[in-house]
Amino acid sequence: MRKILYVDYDKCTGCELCVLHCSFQKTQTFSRSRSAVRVMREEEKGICIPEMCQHCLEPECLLVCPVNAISRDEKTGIVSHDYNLCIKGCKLCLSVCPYGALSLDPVTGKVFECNQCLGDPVCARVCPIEIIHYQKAEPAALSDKDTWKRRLLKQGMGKTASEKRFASIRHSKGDRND
Amino acid sequence: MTDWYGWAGTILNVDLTNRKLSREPLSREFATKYIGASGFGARVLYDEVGPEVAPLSPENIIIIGGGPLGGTTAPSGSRYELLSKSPLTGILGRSNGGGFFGPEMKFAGYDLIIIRGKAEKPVYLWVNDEQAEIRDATHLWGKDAWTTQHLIQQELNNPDIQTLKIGPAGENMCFSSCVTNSLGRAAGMTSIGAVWGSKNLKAVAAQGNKWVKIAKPKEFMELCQALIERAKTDPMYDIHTKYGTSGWVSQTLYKQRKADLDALYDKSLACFGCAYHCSHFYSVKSGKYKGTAGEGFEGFHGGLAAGVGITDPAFMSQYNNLCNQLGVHICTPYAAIAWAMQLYQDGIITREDTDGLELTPGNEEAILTLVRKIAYKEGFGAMLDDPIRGAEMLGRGSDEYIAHIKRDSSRGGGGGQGIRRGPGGNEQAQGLGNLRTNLYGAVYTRRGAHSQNAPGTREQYPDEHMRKLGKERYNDPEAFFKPNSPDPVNARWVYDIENIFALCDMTGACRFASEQTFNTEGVHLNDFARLMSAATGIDFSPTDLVEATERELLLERAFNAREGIRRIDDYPYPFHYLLKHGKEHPRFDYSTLKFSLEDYDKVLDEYYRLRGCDLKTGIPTQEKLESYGLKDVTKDLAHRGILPP
Repeated sequence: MRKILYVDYDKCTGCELCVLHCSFQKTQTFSRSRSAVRVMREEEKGICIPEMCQHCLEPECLLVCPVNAISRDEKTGIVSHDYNLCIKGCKLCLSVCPYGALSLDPVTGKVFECNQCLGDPVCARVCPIEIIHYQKAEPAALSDKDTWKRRLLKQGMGKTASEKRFASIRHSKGDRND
Repeated sequence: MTDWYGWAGTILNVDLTNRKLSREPLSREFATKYIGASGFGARVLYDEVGPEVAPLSPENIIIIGGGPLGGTTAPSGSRYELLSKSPLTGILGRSNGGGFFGPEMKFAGYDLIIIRGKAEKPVYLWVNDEQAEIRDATHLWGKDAWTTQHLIQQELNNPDIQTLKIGPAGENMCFSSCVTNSLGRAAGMTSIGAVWGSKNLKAVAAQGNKWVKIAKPKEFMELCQALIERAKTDPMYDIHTKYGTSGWVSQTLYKQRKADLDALYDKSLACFGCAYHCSHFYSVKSGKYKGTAGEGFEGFHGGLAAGVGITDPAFMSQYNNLCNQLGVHICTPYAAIAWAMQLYQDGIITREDTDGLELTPGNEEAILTLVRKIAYKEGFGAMLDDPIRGAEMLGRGSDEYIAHIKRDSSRGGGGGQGIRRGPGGNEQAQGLGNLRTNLYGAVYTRRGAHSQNAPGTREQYPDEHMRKLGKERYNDPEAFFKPNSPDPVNARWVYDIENIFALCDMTGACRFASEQTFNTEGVHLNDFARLMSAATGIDFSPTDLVEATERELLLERAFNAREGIRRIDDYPYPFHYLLKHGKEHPRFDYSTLKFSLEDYDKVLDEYYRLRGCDLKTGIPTQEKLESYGLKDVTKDLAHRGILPP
């Protein structure tokens, strides 16, 4: 059964413990940039949004990858990279992700991809106020997701926010040498 | 270079005069001895800034420090320390801030940033991993703190950038200025913003793509999780996490205006890596401040605003945002305006002095106008910037309306320093509080600080809980129930709390988060030692950590001694006045005191004994300094002729 990480964005305190634990899980170090979770914030409005791979049904990253290194497991719904094929550095997948959820490891050149910690996502486990839920991708949960998305758009977040995020990704993921 | 665990391992030296930057490796011996943040800072400040340096001269330095637990999952390792010689008090200036700057600085690879000299034109420092540069800030000069952050993030095209910056108040070198980080957080105490202004330094921006390594990852993570879980069982957890300091220090706010607070409350917010989320996002939904929204305000607004006749949280929210934008330390205008209101009420000043403002308690427009005037040193605002200096300008006996500790009057109303401040004052604003609270506030190395209330907060816990704790800790179940007694346990408690707080500051952990559990089963010395050992790979025992905190506090006291601070400065204001002038303060009613001078003296003596200070002068003794490896300090003090015999 396909499962997703559902976040109750309204309550997120922006503590980034999910970011830290994720980076620790993947690299055994603490870092904001070496994590599959990033928290986007709009400080004036007190909005914090943890962003992680949504494992989209029709992933943009999968469509644009020039070497077809990205695939989606139909059974689990997990979208993953094949590093035997990946060019490690073209960053096309990063730039098309509408959530800005992907980032590159500056050390290995690989994408920090969320594999939902193979069924036990650490972000959901450590969230101190328990707002990250690892749950079945049921229609009810998805409609909740639509609600928050609409609300964000209404608050004028949506597009500008992801634009901001892209700018950040381009900057912090090593573009300054390009 | 060997690998660093916990620490980032690099110091960034910035020379603003010659526009030069250099990176310097951290020495392992230095790191072990001084731990981090305030520990590093106190040492560097002691070595580089002597009594001959004027606070606003280019020779003063700015130190920004992060601790070894910063940027990790250790409970609330999000703090940074800011040190300088304080323009306000002329002694050690140190302030602490939370949010995201401290960790970001570590992710950029630095434990310490030391800024020296003075830039010719306004500049800001941009720190991004190995790339650090001094950039022009002419276009930012004059802008408020919030705009400055936006402009820097836009200019460098990166919304992840964290900034420390000053607003107009810092640029104008106001004594009430602070250094703001994020939008609603600040390192406010001791006017370090003015030092930034004097150096033409508008901001420090940081963003890092590096990481913090941990020596024993598994052990460290298990410990962190256990501590967070334990904290959640703290009896005050729910109140602290929802109302933050408002539910903690401010009885006025939490007890009397809880419904109003609830109406403002939108959600909780947290600093980096913190499970406590004691901060909150407030928005005003109706009334004349409708639309005002922002992070925080802190609980001590409650006690201070009472001095100017305000109890409305909506106003506090507005005032808080204004201060944050202008880069004004929120305590100062409250205390200064309360002073002016009392003068106005007693006919010492009139509308001619106040630029035509009607200074009656609760006049919200006048208060907000005055905050602006203070930040720009305009007219009457220049006098309110620092009431002590203002009273010198004004004369007419207006100095008798001021209480201060170590020349800082901004907390004159709170936590027990005496002298009724402001016509609207509540009990907290007029009273002198109990002996223990006063001792903590008065012996504090920086000034009478808001954390001085800390020992008092224990009283919010259930009695049984405190009895059990007293038994465990001091083998005296009544230890926490005799705040006015000359019992040495009061000195011991203040000493312990000072140490644990100093340790928080040195490691980069949060006082509030650690302190609220210090007296429960939460973060205490054993846990700190285990956390530090697992993080850094260096074996720290609880004794090692106490030694390090003692060393840091001795350095601070030695620094202050060099600046002329003596035993007389470690008294609450009414006693300080009594000893200094040989007569009672004319405006203080000594019959309201809950403790006598003799009792205070006894406890102070005991505190000095614990701290290793000379009973007569309050200066650290040779024996104590040398046993903590501070031989150079004894030499320096002896050379200046102030080392106690």
